[in-house]
Amino acid sequence: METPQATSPNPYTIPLDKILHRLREMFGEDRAQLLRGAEFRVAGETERVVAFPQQREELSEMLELAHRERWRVIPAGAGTWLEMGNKPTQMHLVISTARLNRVVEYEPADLTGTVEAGCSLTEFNQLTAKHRQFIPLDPFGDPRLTIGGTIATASSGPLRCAYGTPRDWLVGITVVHADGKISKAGGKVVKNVAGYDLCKLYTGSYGTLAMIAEMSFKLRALPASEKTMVFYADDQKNEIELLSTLAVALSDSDVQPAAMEFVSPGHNASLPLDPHRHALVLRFLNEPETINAQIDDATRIGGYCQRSVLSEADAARFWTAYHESETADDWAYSFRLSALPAELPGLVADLTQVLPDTHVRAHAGNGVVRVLAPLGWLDNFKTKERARKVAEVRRAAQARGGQLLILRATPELTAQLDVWGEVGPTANLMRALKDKYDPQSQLNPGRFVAGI
Amino acid sequence: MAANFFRRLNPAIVMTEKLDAKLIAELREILGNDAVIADDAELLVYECDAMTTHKSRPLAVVFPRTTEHVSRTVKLLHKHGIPFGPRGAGTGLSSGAVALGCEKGERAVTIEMARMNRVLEVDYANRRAIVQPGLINVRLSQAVAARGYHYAPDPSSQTSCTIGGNVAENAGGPHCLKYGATTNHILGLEVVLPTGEVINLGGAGADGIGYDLLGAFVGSEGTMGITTKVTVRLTRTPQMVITLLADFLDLNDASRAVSAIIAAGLLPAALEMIDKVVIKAVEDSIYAAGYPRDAAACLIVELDGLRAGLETQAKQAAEICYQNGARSVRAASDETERKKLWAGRKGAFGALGRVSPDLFVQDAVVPRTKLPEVLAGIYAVGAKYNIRLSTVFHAGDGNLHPNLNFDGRDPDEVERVHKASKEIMKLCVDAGGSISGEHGVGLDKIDYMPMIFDQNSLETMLAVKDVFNPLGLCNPGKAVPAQKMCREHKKGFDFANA
Ligand SMILES: Cc1cc2nc3c(=O)[nH]c(=O)nc-3n(C[C@H](O)[C@H](O)[C@H](O)COP(=O)(O)OP(=O)(O)OC[C@H]3O[C@@H](n4cnc5c(N)ncnc54)[C@H](O)[C@@H]3O)c2cc1C
Ligand SMILES: Cc1cc2nc3c(=O)[nH]c(=O)nc-3n(C[C@H](O)[C@H](O)[C@H](O)COP(=O)(O)OP(=O)(O)OC[C@H]3O[C@@H](n4cnc5c(N)ncnc54)[C@H](O)[C@@H]3O)c2cc1C
Repeated sequence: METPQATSPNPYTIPLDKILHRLREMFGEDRAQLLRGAEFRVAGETERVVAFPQQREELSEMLELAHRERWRVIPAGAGTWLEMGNKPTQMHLVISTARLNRVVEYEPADLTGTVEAGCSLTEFNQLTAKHRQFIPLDPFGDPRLTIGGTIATASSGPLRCAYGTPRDWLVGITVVHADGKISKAGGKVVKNVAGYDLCKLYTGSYGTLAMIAEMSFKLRALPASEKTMVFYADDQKNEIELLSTLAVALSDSDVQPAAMEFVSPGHNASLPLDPHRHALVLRFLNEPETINAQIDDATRIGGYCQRSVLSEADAARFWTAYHESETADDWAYSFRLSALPAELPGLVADLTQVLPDTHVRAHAGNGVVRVLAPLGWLDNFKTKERARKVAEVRRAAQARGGQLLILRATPELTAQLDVWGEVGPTANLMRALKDKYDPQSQLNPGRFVAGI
Repeated sequence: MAANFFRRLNPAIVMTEKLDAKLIAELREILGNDAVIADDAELLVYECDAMTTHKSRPLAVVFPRTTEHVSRTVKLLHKHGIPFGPRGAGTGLSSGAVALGCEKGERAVTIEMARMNRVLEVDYANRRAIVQPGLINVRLSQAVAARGYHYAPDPSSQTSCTIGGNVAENAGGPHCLKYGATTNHILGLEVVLPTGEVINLGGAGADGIGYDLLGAFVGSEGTMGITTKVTVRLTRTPQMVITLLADFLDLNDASRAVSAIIAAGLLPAALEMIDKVVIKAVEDSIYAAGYPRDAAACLIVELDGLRAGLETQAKQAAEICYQNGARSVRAASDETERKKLWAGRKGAFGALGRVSPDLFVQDAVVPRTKLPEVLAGIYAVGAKYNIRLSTVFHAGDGNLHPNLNFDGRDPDEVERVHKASKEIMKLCVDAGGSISGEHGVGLDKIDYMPMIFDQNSLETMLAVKDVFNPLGLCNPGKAVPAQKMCREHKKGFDFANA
């Protein structure tokens, strides 16, 4: 193992201009750039080389070159979330799929599509919307984010309540390995059990096993109509308890919202909600008569709460603002907790006690809670104590069968805490897997769980 | 390398032809006297699964009752370098549970999970249940029905197959069109690795961290370890179900109706097709469902969900059937009639099984829009080889089941079945499909894997297998063709010598 390097502003062991020159020489001037500033920034470094392959074969050749030269590679899509993960132990070059972005195949009548990794999810869903179809994933983040990045990070959003997560929609994948080798798993059809389901392994592997080049998805028909309903608790003292318990009750009923979000007050002026109260927001996507029946059901179950159905304009404004504000730059800290769905009341109670002055949001039907805080949060505490508090919430989540991920934090905090937390006894299998795929640890070294 | 490598380290170990008495005694000590079968005559029933064309008699069959039994058994076999494989109810249709060893002609110990068949915990608040792997699929749905839930994956064999077998095959079923296959319903597994180590994959909270090992394990056909506990998702039972039977005088019209229903954005809970040969076989059997005998094909279109709006959807589906040439479309008038329609569909293989001594059930997937041309091609193959061929399948998913009736005592016919089967696979692959939608690769289709995966892809799969099963002792010869000699079993089924 080489010694960790990436903590300094210049983490490189090889001069960047040399790498840049080699890439340009082999692949052409436009295929590699030296970028400064925030674009494709990985871990606070001041500059970096970014390569942009335009074909799968070119991606393969670039990785093969990196393999020969022992360059450590940071795989990237649009580069909107490269900060995620532990600091790389080394890096020499970023390879972005931003220009590997074609729609390879889209057959509306089959409800399937195949795209290159760099294809933007938003754009693909605009294309399929013409046929009233979509990939029902709505990850937070910059609209430029790529489908490859979404799969690599297993990103999902509020719609997971009804539609699940990326692992439920990906049916086939082509990847390029660290040495340039190309392999496939799955296929283009919606049902397939031939060969191991490696689609699942790549989903959420954060670019540590191989680079994703192409993916096939099943799609869903776009729902005919939608409505958004908001619940507030009457009793301001017990808001959290009342609303999270309502979420648990709704989950065990015939009410089937496409999204069910718990939102705490404050810091969310852009949302068309009461700024002083907690809210439980339900989004229904369905035929109008089915939606109305569900709103009636939800009203009956949540009879002890105040409720309203948002106007179409407010609903649209809410979901746009909700998405945009989730990853806004003002949040210097973003944590994601996950536990069993029925643990939601306890989980939220734990964390509001230990981590006050945060903005809390939850996928209330899935047991996934996000905690957001601005720079200056808990400023009167020392970094060490802040870290201790986050660790305390992590332990509380673990005690409820879940965990805590650090999606974004100051370098001071991530220097104290592992971004992922403990994976437990499966760590050995995970390391063995990494070792099979990438024995020289060239892809995102040190960024993932268990030192991978 | 696997077993050979192991044997090099342990030169005393040679190819296992018979278990020695001492080892049998040790197994009895671990599992109890009534939980080990080693008598040749008694082993006979375990030599194949529901695909009777591949056979290998196990060295012994053991019946664990606890995770510890499985773990200790596996540790013992691992120590002695003896191959072994898990088995559920033996309803598999790809010979996945056949006891193969690491080398040609070698046999293995079968670990039969049927006695680990309890529901351990039902947790309605989190809509999940924890069960043992030997639990029969339908028992779980029965156990939670009163509370308004069910377990969604419903293979046609659900009254006999086990949840552990379903996990291993990533089993599907008629209702997977709307609800997804087994993999979409498994939240966690306790697994005995091929070394005997017990480990939990996936588990409690909503999102695990690290690699999705659970996702890779589901569908690994018993080649990555033995499942000893399964946490499944429970699904809310729909408020209302409407089941339509549409009959067509032209099979192509039925296929087009399938595509049109999907393209219209409807998502039926199930969309099944039955051709005229199957209709006749079913109507002549105890499963008689009232399918019109003179139809070229029938579709079962089931819509479920919330009461409000469901009739509108059913009307739309019926209209699409009519627009595509349906002669009649009728809705089951009550639960009895609905059950009858399904009994015919789910009993189709059984009914076909009575038509000839042997039945070869194929399984392949094609893009839904390719159904008309692929079906035409499949019937042409049947005619070319003069085989009684029929289809009954999950049309909404494009998941075909061409059935080939034959007589295993007729070597010429067996040869023709073999050839036809391969041609059908090629047709489906050329149409952009896959060689299996739900029955798995097992032993039966291992030779077909290179039709859809190149060398790099197969090697990658083997590398993943090595992580879990480095010595290759756990269910050798299945799922992914080995690249190295010593792991290789007789490639595929030798019909001529059946
Ligand atoms: C502050 C913040 C919070 C977020 N919170 C959430 C959240 O709560 N829930 C959620 O679901 N999502 C969340 N996201 C994730 C968001 O959806 C991601 O931004 C998006 O998925 C990444 O797309 P990208 O193309 O920009 O990927 P990049 O930012 O370029 O890459 C992201 C990661 O994926 C890897 N990667 C990218 N492309 C490939 C590829 N082709 N092959 C292999 N590896 C690749 C990279 O190595 C990197 O580890 C958050 C993002 C931000 C910025
Ligand atoms: C009439 C009929 C209809 C069918 N319909 C369908 C259908 O609609 N959809 C469908 O998908 N399949 C169907 N099948 C196929 C079969 O029922 C499924 O593949 C089922 O999942 C097998 O379960 P089993 O318990 O019988 O497993 P077995 O046949 O005993 O074993 C199957 C595989 O699972 C492995 N295995 C079993 N238990 C474990 C365990 N605990 N841990 C690890 N590995 C294990 C075995 O090693 C083997 O590789 C049908 C079969 C028949 C006979």
